[in-house]
Amino acid sequence: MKKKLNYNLIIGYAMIALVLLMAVVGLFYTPYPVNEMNVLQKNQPPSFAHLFGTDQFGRDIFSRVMEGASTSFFIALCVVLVGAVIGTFTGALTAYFGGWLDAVLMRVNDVLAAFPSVLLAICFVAVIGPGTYNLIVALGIVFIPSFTRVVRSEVLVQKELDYVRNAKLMGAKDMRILVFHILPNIKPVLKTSLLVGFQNAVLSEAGMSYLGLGVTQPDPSLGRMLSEAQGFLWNAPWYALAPGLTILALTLGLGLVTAEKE
Amino acid sequence: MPLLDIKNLKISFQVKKDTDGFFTTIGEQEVVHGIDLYVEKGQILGLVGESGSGKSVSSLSILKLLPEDAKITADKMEFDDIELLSQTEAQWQALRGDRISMVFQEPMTSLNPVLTIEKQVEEGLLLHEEEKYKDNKELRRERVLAVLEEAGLSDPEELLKKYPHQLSGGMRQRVMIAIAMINRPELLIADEPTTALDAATQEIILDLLKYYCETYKTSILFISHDLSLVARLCDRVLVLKNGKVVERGTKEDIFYRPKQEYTKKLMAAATGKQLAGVSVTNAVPLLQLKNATIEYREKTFFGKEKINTAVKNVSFELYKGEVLGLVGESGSGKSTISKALTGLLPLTKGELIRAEGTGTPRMVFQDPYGSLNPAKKIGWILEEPLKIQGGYTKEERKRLVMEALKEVELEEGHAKRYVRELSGGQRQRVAIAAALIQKPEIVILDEPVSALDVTVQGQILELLYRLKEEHGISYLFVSHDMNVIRRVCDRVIVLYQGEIVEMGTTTDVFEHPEHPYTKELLRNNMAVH
Amino acid sequence: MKFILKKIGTLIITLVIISFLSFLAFSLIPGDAAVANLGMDADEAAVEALREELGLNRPVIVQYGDWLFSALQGDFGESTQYHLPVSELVAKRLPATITLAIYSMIIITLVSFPLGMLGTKKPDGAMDTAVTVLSQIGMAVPQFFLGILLTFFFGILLNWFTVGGYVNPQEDLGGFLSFLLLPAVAVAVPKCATMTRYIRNAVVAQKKMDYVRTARGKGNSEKRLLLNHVLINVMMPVVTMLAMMAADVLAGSIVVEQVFNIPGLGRLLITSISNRDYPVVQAIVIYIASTVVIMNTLADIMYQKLDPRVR
Repeated sequence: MKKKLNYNLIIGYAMIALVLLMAVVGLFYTPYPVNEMNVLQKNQPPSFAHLFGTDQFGRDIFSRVMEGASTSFFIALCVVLVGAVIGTFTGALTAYFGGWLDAVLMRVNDVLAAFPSVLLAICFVAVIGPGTYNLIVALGIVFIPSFTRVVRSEVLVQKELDYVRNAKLMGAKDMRILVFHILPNIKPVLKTSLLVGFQNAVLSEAGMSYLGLGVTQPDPSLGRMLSEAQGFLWNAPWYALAPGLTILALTLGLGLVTAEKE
Repeated sequence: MPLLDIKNLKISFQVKKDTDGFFTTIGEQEVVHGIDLYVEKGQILGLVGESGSGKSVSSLSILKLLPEDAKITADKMEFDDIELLSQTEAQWQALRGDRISMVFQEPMTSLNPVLTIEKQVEEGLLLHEEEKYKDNKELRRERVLAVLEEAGLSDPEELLKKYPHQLSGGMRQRVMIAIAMINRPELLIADEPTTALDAATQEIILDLLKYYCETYKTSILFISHDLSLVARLCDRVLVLKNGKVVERGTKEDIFYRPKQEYTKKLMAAATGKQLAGVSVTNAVPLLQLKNATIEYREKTFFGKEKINTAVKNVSFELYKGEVLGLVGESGSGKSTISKALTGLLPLTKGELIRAEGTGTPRMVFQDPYGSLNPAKKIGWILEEPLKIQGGYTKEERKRLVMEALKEVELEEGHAKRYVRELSGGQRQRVAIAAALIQKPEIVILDEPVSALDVTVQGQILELLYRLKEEHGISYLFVSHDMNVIRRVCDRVIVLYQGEIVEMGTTTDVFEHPEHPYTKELLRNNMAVH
Repeated sequence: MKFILKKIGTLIITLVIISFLSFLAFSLIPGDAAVANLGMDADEAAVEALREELGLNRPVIVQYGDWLFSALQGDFGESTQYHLPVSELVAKRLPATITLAIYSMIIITLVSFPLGMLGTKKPDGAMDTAVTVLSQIGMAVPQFFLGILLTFFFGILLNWFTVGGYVNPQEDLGGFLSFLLLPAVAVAVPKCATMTRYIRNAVVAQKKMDYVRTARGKGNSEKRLLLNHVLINVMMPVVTMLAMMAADVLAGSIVVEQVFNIPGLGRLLITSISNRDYPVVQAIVIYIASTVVIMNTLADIMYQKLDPRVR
């Protein structure tokens, strides 16, 4: 017997935990007020006073990254929840009962799949406007089809298996079969989809905010910080590094855990 | 001097135990514990055993076709004076397909799905006689056509440009044999080459193997779980169990004078001990199927409908306390009928009448893993029908579950396990318990033992028989296996292409078959001579 | 042939639905073209008059029919911001985006195949783990952050190119192509990583198939096995997946054009959204979505042609 450590899993969890810690603490405490400007301290390199340095207005980047991380977490979580709940619901029902509703929904899904998810989110934001809650709505809708597709194809497989036939013979009603017999069997697949979805949601949120179509001023956001930092790459490259690496730590951590769980 | 001589062969694998949190535990598991075997030139050696006996693993080790993590050791593993284990990878490659070849169980997946038959057959020539064949397409094709024809493929020209999925199962296996034989190997390893085929095709493949052995003095190592096949083909037999040799001897020794208990059990399972014997009095039938026709409709593009008739004008009765056998090959409509009897599939024409007070029949399926919810514990699975039925308190339900487990000879502790943690036999016991817990009058057994090893088959059949006697249940026993049908059924229905071709008591059907199809089924299925 | 006709039929229906939905979405926005033309403070009566003149008071479906009719003739309306025909604006921005997309597809193809097969000789071995970790990083990195890192290293530290110094292809084709290389890398890396992972998994899965055992049993060497048997089986799903990746590549270029300040469709889209220049937004959205649907259809048809099992 040999015991082997799963490094990917450990490193993955550690990265997620680190960002999560920053985000949670950031809700209650930041070293400096997030929007406090200090002209004397602008564009300072990292130091003990300012761990990640300061930006063009002398604001503490570490504090802003902490707040940005909690915004990212919050948005990504909401987006995945919206997508997963609605997606599971529609996917499971249409797959199990089939019929015209299934056909219509699949066509809608096909059409939605034609839009790259960023483009679709951009369209929604263009119609309803930017802002934290609008972004959640836009990305949430964009995330529904992928969950619908996963759940639908799983339920289609499961409902043909003998254990479902057995349950029918026992006299179980359709909803009972769906909820108590089939859903427990798609839990593992759903778990991976949730992880993958969360990673995509973090990336999408950051991307939208970078484009100026996501979180609006004055809420801090990792994506928008990066777009601001881009103008100061010459004299303050650390400004871009801090939010960028924070996003990367979160998404890479999620990726490593997903790869290990698959 | 034997052609192949193996002494004390041991094989072990690395197994990944369940990943537990941040740790993966890796252990080593020995699956073959010191096997000796030899094959003489021009002889056929049979290797018999149930799943897990190590028969396939041992044969794959001769060509070093096992996964990389397998560890193979032996005191001696010689092929024509070459010590195989000390060969380099290049030397192995020179041996494989040239002097030693192999045919596998599943001809569909064993052929490359996206290459033409010609490409796959001629590859052996290009690999081992490159100078001769590389630039001579005509010579190559001539040789490919000859070897295909020899394998009994009547129109080889037609085949060349085809892909595996365009051929029937039997043709694919002939192609596999042609591929194996193209360089006239001295040793052919055939790993369950007929298991995936229907009875008639099995016969043809066996004859083909015999032909090669006689014509080219090819030695054959024939691996099978089926004693009756081994009996017809092999000169000598080796019986394996759990990675060890249980018994060895000539064909006659093993079949007429088996010494070991295990061999006797295997023989008993293959010939079959009679369990049936209830003669049906002309009581009221519990279930009647009258002139039933079942069609599947498929909508094609442009709205045209394709109608597939699975069952044509079938009528029969099932009486109280009897075991009615439903026999036929895949596609004969037997599964369709069993689904229709439970009401899962509507009849297109005809009627289904259940006697008053008779509930919906319950079912036991072929694959217990698929028919029991994999995400739930056994206790939950057994309790669920009672919950749906209603009218029990929690304590009563628990008590009934425990009783049901005892009834099928399982322990109370099994209630807390998942299906994946049980063996195949135990799973089927749970499936039987689940089917019986609501005390149905009729149980449909859809190939209930086909997925099990023969010794386990016997135990399950005996259990089913006992339960029937104790509770007065009627069984509809669906199977393709004539041996099993003969053991347990009182009456038999033979289905062919959706129609009943013969119906009668088991004795009548087996001793005086009338329809040619029944005769063929019996000839191919029953033979331990 | 029947299959292809059927696919083209579905394609046309999907295209109509897509364009209608996009049209509908942008006609729902409060503040229509009339308001945009005259400004927010314009006189109510004047706005109403312009609406009547532009035909904005008719039912949506009639307006859509009108729009579709002119769109089919290449007329997508006029930009409210630049007062130029939309088609002219789009045509001017197209070369940069298309070049970027093709560039990225080439990088994805050239890199992911060898990288994907590199570790498969010994699954879970050192090389395989290295490739896995590398592709995980590639999948996790946001394209715009990667773009910023590339700008910093190659533009600022090494000074290999002028940051933000886009070169017009009419003036200097070589300069244009070399400027687009780094943006293409930024677009390609995450997709490369996905593809590498996919190819790696597919090869490992195929190598466990029975036919591979047969091929080994014939005396094939590991290299021949990979090239003559495994690769052809892996190829078919991969080729279709590559075609489908066009969608992600176009989406990626929207973001990356922003990072490198490239005047392509993506930048035009973003600036048009902030300027509420909806005719332009509409045209670009429909253009990209149509490209994606057409690529997907091509992928389907290609798969049909390639795989003998569905032919």
